[in-house]
Amino acid sequence: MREQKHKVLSAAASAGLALVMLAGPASADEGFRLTQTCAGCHGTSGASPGDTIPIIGGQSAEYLAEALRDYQSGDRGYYVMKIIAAGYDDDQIDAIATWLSEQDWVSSDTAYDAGLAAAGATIAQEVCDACHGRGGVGSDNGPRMAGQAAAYLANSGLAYKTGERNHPIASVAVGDIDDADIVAAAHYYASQR
Amino acid sequence: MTITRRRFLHTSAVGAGAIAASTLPLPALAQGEIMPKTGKRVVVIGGGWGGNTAAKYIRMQDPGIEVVLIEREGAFRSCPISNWVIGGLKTMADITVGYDGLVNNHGIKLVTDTVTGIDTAARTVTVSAGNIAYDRLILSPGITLRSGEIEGLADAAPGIFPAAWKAGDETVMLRSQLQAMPAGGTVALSVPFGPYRCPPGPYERISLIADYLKNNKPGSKIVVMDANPKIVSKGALFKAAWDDFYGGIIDYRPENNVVRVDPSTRTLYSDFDEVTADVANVIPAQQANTLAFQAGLVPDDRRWAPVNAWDFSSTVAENVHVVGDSTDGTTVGKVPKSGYIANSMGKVCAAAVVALMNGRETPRPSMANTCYSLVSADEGISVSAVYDFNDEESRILPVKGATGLSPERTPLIKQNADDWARSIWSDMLG
Repeated sequence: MREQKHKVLSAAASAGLALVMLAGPASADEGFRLTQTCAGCHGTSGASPGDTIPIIGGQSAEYLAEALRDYQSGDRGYYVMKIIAAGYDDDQIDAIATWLSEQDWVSSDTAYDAGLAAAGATIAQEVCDACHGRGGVGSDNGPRMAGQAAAYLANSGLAYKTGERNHPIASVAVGDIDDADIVAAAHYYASQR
Repeated sequence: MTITRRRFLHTSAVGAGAIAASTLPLPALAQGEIMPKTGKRVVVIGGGWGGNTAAKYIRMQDPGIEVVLIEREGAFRSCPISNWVIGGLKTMADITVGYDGLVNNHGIKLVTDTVTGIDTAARTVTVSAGNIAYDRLILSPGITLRSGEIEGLADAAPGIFPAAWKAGDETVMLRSQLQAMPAGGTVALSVPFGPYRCPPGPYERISLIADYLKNNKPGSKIVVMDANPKIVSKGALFKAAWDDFYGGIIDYRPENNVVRVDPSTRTLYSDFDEVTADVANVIPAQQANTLAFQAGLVPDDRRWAPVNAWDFSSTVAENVHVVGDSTDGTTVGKVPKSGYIANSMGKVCAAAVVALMNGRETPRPSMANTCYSLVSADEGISVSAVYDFNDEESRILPVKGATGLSPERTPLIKQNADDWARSIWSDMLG
């Protein structure tokens, strides 16, 4: 476990924790104009009520913009968002990410497994909190996971392992964790509402 | 065309129910103003995908505008996911949502009544209880089935050939008929020429009925009489699933337009083919809801209401907008008649109406679509696109490179579909 944490921190250091900075000021009107249609899948203002489609309202702007660009580049592979992300240019992505980040975070009320959540707490705190903040509340270095739906978090964690998603830090972080522990950590973060 | 009072009453009794008087000097059934207008008011007709969304998003952007939503049904019943009810994966209760969220969370004034007239010159909508004045009208009335085009269909007793193309009693009826059918029976399903509501809808339904027959009614089959030369949407994905799962169960017959039915034998006829069935799901061709015709928003010889794609204003009447399946697709651009698109249209229209009523420039439209379909009780597929306004064509077209299908069918896509429904229902009604 401790070794895994070192790996994560060293991956973080080599990546320089260089998350993409937003290019310039994005107008709120432009953000709303473009983001309204996201609500069809992600709920009004990004407060998704489902299990497998993430909450994006109140998420960090840096993370959202990076995620959309990763769908464009192929570092994220899920097909729906690859299609959707291709529809927006750099400025539009910044406007979307900024507008969403300014909305209230509404934690999921989907079910999680309390036993799994308890079992996943240790690995989550030892490995994931480093970037995702204490209890997964998010930090400058990683998106909020606290209160996200368990199924989405589990699918995401496993996607870094299968290579469907590639990220200089997250891919390393999950590399040596058993699938069952990834799922348990997902339930832990889902429980942190 | 002159609409006489007699004809008007007759149509009301047997037609889609929501019938308007248009600008013609037809005697209103009720005279009084039932909601005196004090400030800025938008009246929205139709509590479906386009109308609910427009109503809510106007109030979200400008609580100073009074929004009156007129809907004759007491609750919203979702067409998307209604095939899951026919296949036995959901119940009607699962796809029914009340209007209380729009009333309580957004201050929308709900009028549960039937529209009997629209006077676009006087800016008045008449319902059975009286008149309601508006500054701007948003019409989202959905479709009317062209049942009269199929000989014998209009005279058939209810339940012989249910269309189930509006979620409701016929959805339940079709489900019950499938359950009651003996093993070894035949289901017939007809697909009309486009444009019709929900291009992949018939093929999802065929898949889910086939799945049900396979697991519950051994020896049964479903014969598909499709007017079109091939599967209209997601063809390769549907075809692959049918080949893999439903060999000997789905009998797909393209270019087979049903023109006549015989209720006494439950038989469907095309010009060269006939199928006698135990359960017959006849989906007629479609047009804009009768309300749009009666309001004078559909020109002669057209089936749908033309709009300006920038703000979904009618090209025919002032201060009137049309969204959803009633719109003329050739004027909107290259968008399908889907629930997601109606939701997107409602938002573009709402932003335009708020701007217009505040003397501001209307914003550029931005739209998106994702349509999920199940190919079995366990797996889904989808198609998506992002849309922008094309300045040369003045229509809404897909952004280059931002369209596509799911590469395969998966269980996760079925879960996505379920989650999508929860999100978009809450976006319309929450």
